[in-house]
Amino acid sequence: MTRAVSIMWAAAVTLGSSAGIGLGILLEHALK
Amino acid sequence: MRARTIGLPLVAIGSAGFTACMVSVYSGMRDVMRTSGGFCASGGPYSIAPGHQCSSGDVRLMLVGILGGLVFAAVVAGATSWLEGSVLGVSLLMWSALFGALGWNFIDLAMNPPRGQGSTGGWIACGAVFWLMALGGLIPVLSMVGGWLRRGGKPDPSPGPIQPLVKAAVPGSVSNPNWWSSP
Repeated sequence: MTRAVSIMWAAAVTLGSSAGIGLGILLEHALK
Repeated sequence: MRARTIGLPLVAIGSAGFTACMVSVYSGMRDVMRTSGGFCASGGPYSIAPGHQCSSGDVRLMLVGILGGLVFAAVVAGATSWLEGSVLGVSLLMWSALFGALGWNFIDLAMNPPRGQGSTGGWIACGAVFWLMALGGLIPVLSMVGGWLRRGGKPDPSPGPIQPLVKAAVPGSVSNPNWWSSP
């Protein structure tokens, strides 16, 4: 994995995880 | 190029799904600890103690969280592999996140126990074990990140051809072509 792809990978994980917290709270309200 | 255009969005989608499922497991576990003292059951031929009947919401949260988490973890690992990244590294990262978050549930509720909850020594022990397991994943990940930074972001050099430790002594080879006739 090149440096550019590594940085983009880290950005994708950070972005995805941040969105995932919000999605998780929505999921919690939907399932509870 | 194709790996990059599809792999990176897949990593983002997988991370979002994995985190959402982790939040689902986290809140389901927390709810069981708050309302049922940390354990519950439902269905089956046995009579379940009052106050320990699982609510359908908690069952849904745990099931969706665990099964979905496994699927999205596979998506993240698969996409990372496609991008030629470290599958071990990202798997250990997800492991640490999961056990760190669930360990926090144990420690937090042991320190601030729900009303009516007796001794919470068991929760502290569980939290400590969970955090140790999280640390077991986090230390190698930090070491990998440190190595990546020391290399200046360059890919891991390939080890090259591996020399065999043992070689077969084939009769008639270059070393002694007449081995069978020698006295």
